[in-house]
Amino acid sequence: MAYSDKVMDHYSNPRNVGSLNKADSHVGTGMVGAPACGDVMKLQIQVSDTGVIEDAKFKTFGCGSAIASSSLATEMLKGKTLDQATEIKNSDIAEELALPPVKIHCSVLAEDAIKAAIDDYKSKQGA
Amino acid sequence: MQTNEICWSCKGPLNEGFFCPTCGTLRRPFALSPFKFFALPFAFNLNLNTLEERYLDLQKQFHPDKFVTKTSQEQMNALSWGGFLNDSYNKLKKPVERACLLLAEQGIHDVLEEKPTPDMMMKQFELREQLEESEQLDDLLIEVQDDIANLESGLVESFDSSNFEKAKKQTLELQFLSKFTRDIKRKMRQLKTN
Repeated sequence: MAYSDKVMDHYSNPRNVGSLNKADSHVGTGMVGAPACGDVMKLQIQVSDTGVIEDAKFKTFGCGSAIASSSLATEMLKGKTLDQATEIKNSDIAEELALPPVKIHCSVLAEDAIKAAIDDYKSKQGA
Repeated sequence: MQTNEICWSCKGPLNEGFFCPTCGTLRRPFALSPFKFFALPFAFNLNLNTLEERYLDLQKQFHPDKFVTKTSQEQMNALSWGGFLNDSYNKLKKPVERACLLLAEQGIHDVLEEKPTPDMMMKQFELREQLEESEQLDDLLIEVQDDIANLESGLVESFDSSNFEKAKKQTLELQFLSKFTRDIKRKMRQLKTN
């Protein structure tokens, strides 16, 4: 299957790969996976006291589309407020990367990871 | 199993067999659990020799050579049964698919579409990191194969005690570890050739 230029760009030159300190109260960690294909995705956000996402990192074990989806997700997250970040939909990612129908689930995984990271951050703040 | 149907050829009554008890023609395929097809108990524990024996036996019954002088409808039936036979055999043979079949018998479908728990995700992520960073994979492979063996005996127990929720989780884990084993072996081959 041929990947789109945008997928290839993110795949060969992924943005924001790495880890943030999981124990930091400003950091939210989202870990999601798809058992059928064995993909695992970790996405982390660092949130300022004013509720703005200052940094985002990811690490994904999976196909090119899964890596590109999470790479793009971290780019989209930076600079957004938590409320704006909640608005990011998998279709935004799929459209931007021109994902074929069989790879839409990769963008769904990225959306789930964003939501999981935000939830984790919020539960840390509430605790 | 439909026993109240009539034979497509002689219109006689049917029993549970594949052939019409009146005229002896091969029936059209009907909905049948692969376990019943192979006359196996609904259990995860499976004797592979028995499976193999029954497979060969059923293969003989539906072999196209036995139907060359028969009507085209009966030949088609034989082909359909042969397809169902191969499909069932391949599913029963593979532990993950066998578990999925057993869960489907309980009305639990699409198990592999379920989302893994956070704990499972964490463990899978750590395993993936180990695979990425390490070049000494023998120990990792042994560890994963041990885990697979434990999961398989755990599945026997879960199904025997009708603990289907637990069986579901174990099936998901087994699915991941089976795929992961292939990934370890692939990297081992790559390391060897470099």
